[in-house]
Amino acid sequence: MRLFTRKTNHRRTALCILIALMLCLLTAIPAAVSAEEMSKPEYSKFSDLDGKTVGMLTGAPFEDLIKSRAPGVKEFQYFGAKADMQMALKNGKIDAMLLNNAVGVLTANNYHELALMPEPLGETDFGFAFNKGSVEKSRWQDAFDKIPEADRQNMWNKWTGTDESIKTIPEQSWPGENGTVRVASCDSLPPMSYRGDKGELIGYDIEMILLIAKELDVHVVFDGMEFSSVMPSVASGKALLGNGSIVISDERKETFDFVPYCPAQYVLMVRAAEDQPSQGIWPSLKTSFYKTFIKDSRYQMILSGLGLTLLIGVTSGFLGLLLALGLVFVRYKNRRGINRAINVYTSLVSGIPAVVILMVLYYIVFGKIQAPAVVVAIIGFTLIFGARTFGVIWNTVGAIDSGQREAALALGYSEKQAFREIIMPQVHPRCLHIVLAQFVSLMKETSVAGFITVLELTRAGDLIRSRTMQAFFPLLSVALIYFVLTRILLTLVKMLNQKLDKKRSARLVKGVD
Amino acid sequence: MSLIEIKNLRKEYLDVTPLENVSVNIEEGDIVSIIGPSGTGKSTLLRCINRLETPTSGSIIVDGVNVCDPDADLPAVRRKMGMVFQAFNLFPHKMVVENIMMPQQTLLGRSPAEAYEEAMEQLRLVGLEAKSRRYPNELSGGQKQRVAIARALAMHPKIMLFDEPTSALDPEMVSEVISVMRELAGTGLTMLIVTHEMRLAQEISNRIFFMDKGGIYEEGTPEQIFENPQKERTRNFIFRIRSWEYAFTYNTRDIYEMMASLTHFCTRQFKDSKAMRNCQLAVEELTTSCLLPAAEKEPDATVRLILNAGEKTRDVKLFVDYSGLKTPDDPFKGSADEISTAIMDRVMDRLEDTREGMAVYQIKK
Repeated sequence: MRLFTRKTNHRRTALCILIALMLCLLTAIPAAVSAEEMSKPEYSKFSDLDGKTVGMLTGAPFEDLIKSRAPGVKEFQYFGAKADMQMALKNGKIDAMLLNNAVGVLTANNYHELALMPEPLGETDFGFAFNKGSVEKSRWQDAFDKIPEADRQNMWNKWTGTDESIKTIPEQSWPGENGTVRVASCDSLPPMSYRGDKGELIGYDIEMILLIAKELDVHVVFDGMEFSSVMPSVASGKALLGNGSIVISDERKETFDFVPYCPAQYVLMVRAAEDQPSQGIWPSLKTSFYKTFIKDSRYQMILSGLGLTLLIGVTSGFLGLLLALGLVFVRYKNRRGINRAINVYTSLVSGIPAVVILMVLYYIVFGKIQAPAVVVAIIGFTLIFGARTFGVIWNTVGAIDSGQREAALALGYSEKQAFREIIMPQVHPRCLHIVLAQFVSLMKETSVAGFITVLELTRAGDLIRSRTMQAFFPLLSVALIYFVLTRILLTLVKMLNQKLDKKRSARLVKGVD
Repeated sequence: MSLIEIKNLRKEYLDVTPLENVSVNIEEGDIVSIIGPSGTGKSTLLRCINRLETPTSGSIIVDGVNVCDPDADLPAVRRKMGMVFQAFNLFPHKMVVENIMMPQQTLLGRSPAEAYEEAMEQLRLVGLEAKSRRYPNELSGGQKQRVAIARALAMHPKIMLFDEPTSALDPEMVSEVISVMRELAGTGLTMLIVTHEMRLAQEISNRIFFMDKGGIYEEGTPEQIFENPQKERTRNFIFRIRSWEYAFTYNTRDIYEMMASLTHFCTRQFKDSKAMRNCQLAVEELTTSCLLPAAEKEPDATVRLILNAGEKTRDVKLFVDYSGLKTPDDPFKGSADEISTAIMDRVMDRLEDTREGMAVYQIKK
């Protein structure tokens, strides 16, 4: 009875936490306002930024540039995605954010609670990044030069405008006789490079690359990813070139060659001066729900994200378990070289964060091989889960009394038979629940696969957030799905244990009863 | 040819060499008890025979196969030898009957039905038919050990090795295991038993190995070893197992530990529970009503109690050595109250003092 009460308490605690989480997010619901005209900025002179915090995207090293114009800036904060940075600006965690003019103009057009500072920080160009010394670069430059100036201007107007219906890219209908190239593209920086309604990459950059590709008669495969992953992809050779409204800077020129394709400005975006009238909470919730799930069938992104999460989690869980059992078996033979190799493997994997392991695999180990990111994620998580599970199982093997092995050997079992028929059957029930708990945390951990361009559940939620600027429903639904998923798994574990207990207490002899 | 031929067997560990040079033959039908002080290689010898330990040098030929040969088919040789361990080593995840069936099915290829029939037959022999569907952790120590014996017997071995089969048992469970072993001794099976149970050794074996000094120090029939040991160390050992000694000072006294140790000794010595009870009463009363009050004045002085069960005669004598106390007064006069004195008078008689500072009592039977 007491046990029962305690269980209910646990459930109640979990519910309370969930509700608290919802309330927190509720306060962060952005007011949905219709776009009419740009608002006035809260700060209009660089000197207004004295003592303030400025945000920028990771991989955009412009501290010196900002300091040269606004020397009073107190500190910098770095964000992986523009959506997060924008949310931070809105919520007052930062006071200004560095953007390029293309992204800045579009954002100011769409979100009236934000505004651009009147004076740009500096001028340069957007460029497509190639590896230093790439022979392809000059061919792309030549092809680019053939595109008429007027066409470029039309494209600029098209992508920075508010008319979404004309924002499409051409089909790759040319023969493509000169092969296929891979392009690393940021997938969350409208209007230059982002995902369309069906998850395909679109934007000014994308259209420009396709125009050049047509000229060169090559086909293009775009790999969408976080901005911070674009340059590493080019550097590691996974992609011929990278794009994502990359602003050409001296520092970047040290490692990359650029084809400049559009004039660019660095601009600072700040909050708008006057408070915007906000909707009531229910209508705004409704809009938020609509934008997150219904519009452009975005719920499908969540579903396909969930599918990828399950695929990665279940596949690597299964393969990792096989790997662990195999390792336990060879470790049992106790050969010094093998022991040492296993030690190196497990201590390496357990000593490095999962996300770093994935990135090392993706950008370095499989840098030159065009392995799909999902496959790399499965390999990575298999290695991670394998090492952890091996540790658990091997410790349990060590905890089995050595008398068990001796008794089996004395009866005439070989070492192999003793291990398989006497030792392992005792190990399994003892570590089953730990291994399954590890599997549950593996499922949650797959959320870092987004760092290597896999569009799994968390990343799908992030993408919706970057499209809608709504935090509430994307985060909440993702949180809820993970929560339900782990609850289901834990229930399965419990049922499995009960079944084992039942089998044990039935006292049936196999082959006799 | 002997069933087991051991030649120049040597076993070294990093820091100790329990077996220096052992050569001995064991014939079919022999029942050998291996006794001796702890750490003299008794278990090591047994474990070398079925190669759970790898000898450093020498040879052991079991039924024509040299088990020290690296190419020897160990599982095949081991199937001829059943082994019973001190810690039982039953497979805890399997029921009793499955413990006995599994090796038969895996190693002898018997069908589940055949294995089950054999298992039930063996369980009947050790008196545990009714416990066949229990899990090992639901049995008492004595029952576990009998299951372990049944498991080994179900493989129909030629030789049975017993490695201290009763050492992990509570005193009241020793006898049920001993009775099973006694039964077994009548079947003509070859048995090697490492034991501290002198009664068992004396009763069922035809040969006794006394091990000490890195090998078999003295060998003989039970009569030769227990009644008339030839060598000094054997004599000391046999005598020592017949006596109990306990020393304490007032400051380090632990009466419960003392009584537990006495009880342990008595259960091994006396079949007769009255003798055991009298010994316990005598020691307890003497200590609490005479010795402790006397020792309280000199809390660091040592007092020793020695209980001697006698060699051949079954006389039980209690020696109290109080010579550590500086006050030469006899501590047994006047300090005990009436009830204590009455109890002591009932369980023992005081004999003539032979030495200064020593009192000798004869425990009544």
